[in-house]
Amino acid sequence: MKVQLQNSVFDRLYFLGYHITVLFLTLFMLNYFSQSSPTIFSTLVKMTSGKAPKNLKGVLKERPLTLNMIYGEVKVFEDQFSGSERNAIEGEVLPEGAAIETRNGSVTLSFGNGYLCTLKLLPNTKLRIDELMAPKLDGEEKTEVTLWHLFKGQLIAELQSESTIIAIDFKTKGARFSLRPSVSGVAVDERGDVLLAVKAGEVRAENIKTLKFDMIKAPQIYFIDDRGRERKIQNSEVVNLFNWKISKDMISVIDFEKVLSLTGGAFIEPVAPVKKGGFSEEERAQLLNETREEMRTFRAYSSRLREDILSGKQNLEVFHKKNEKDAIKIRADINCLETSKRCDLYSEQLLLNRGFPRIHNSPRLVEGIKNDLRKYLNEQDTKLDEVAKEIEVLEALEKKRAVVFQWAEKQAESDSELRETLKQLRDQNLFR
Amino acid sequence: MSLERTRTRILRPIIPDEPSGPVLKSARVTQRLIANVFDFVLLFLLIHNTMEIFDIGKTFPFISPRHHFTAVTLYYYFILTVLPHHLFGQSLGQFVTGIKVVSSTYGQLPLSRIIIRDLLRPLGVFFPAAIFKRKGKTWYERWTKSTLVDLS
Repeated sequence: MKVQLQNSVFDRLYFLGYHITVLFLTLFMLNYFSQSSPTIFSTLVKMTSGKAPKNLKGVLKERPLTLNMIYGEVKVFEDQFSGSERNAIEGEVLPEGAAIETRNGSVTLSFGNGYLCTLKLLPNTKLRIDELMAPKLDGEEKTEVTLWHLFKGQLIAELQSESTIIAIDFKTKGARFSLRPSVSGVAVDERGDVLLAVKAGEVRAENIKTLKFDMIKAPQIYFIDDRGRERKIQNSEVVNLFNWKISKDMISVIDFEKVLSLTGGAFIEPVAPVKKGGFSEEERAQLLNETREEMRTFRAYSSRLREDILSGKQNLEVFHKKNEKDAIKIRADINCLETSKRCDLYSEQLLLNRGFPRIHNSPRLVEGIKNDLRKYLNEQDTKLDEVAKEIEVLEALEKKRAVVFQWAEKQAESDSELRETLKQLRDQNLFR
Repeated sequence: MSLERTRTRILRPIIPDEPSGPVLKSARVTQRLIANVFDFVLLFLLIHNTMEIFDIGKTFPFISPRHHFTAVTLYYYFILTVLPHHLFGQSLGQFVTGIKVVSSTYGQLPLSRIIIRDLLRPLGVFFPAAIFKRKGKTWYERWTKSTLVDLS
């Protein structure tokens, strides 16, 4: 069969028509199934520009995790079973099961609702995305939990959330723990020892296989474990070991031996058991009610007092003289609060009852009241000191005045002019 | 003697269907080059943008993620080169430059030979037609008994 070697106009139209229909059908198919953009027009815009238009929110929703390079060389393993590796690309989307290894560089992973959560990986870190962002509805609250496997290295996790409850779970060789909205640093040794430093926020450990790791917190940071116990390790030196701001010039890899020397030769710091006091449940409830009422009255009294002083209703000097007994009482209360078992019990019970909105505020509250009262007493002392100084000055002046008066009277015996002036001064009550 | 004969047979295979009709101008090197560049640039843009924008795993869940690139490439290659060669004897680049794929007898090339030709054609990047040609035909044209003719 011979081929028609000259194309007619009809042949040309047929040829072009074929290509146009085939391309449109392809675009329609891809557009329909992937549902990434509403119209074929927007798809065409994307196809010609190679980038998604900004108004297509659907595209952003489908991107659960993005990778941003900070510097250097970062490898990505797309599948854990195949050993194929490639260089990471700026702004790429990583799927579940992908592993990242930072060799000479560092990288940021942003994820979560509104991309508010970030993980910054430092050099020589290997991390795998085990389970990514599965939002669940627990009653009315929406929770988002991600699971990561941290093989080695260190990272800085900055977690924030606006509406949903967010948590990331870390799995390592010997431990498993989760971070809640916080700024925290995690370092893992090749042996499997874990070091966790919390700069701000709250950390919660669940289902810990082995307590091989240490929870180190900056001052005023509270770590609560699943049994409701409270730990407080105030070792800011260890917290400062972490490289909180990643830059190319500042690369500090955590030396675990240094940490051991700082924490006293052990990762596991013994936790003091909570004093339960041997109370029965009824006694405990009664004591709790009593302490709550005490706390309430004490708080009301202290706040009223402070307002009165600030508004000027109470004169400080008069108040100090009149309510000396009260001040002594307050001092005694403070000492009592510091030492009493009730306070321990109260805070412990608060920790156990998760219904309280701000659990870890109870010790802070006590400290706050103590500080206020200390400040008030100090102010009083300083004012009294000032008054005493004034009195001293006045007394000194009066002594001088008396000396002068005696000397003047002696002089007036021989001097008539001086006698007259003294008379005038006495009439004006300037000399007694 | 016998050895020399076999060698000549291997090097110069006998082509049974020699051109019987009027001898047409074969396509020039520049025409071939422009057509190839046009086709491959278009293919690259389509494949790249499709991979970038669409979630192939959602459209075709039965394809493994590691085969997405291969699948998209084969699809576009089929609809943009193999099928048009079968239907019209031209791809888009060849349409623009005015050349056509025909058999060595200036007849229509069967689909099997079109597929072989189009699969071998990308290797022309490494073994270009301008150097590896004999009697105005490139190596893959000789193997598939096809030729490119200038329509103008």
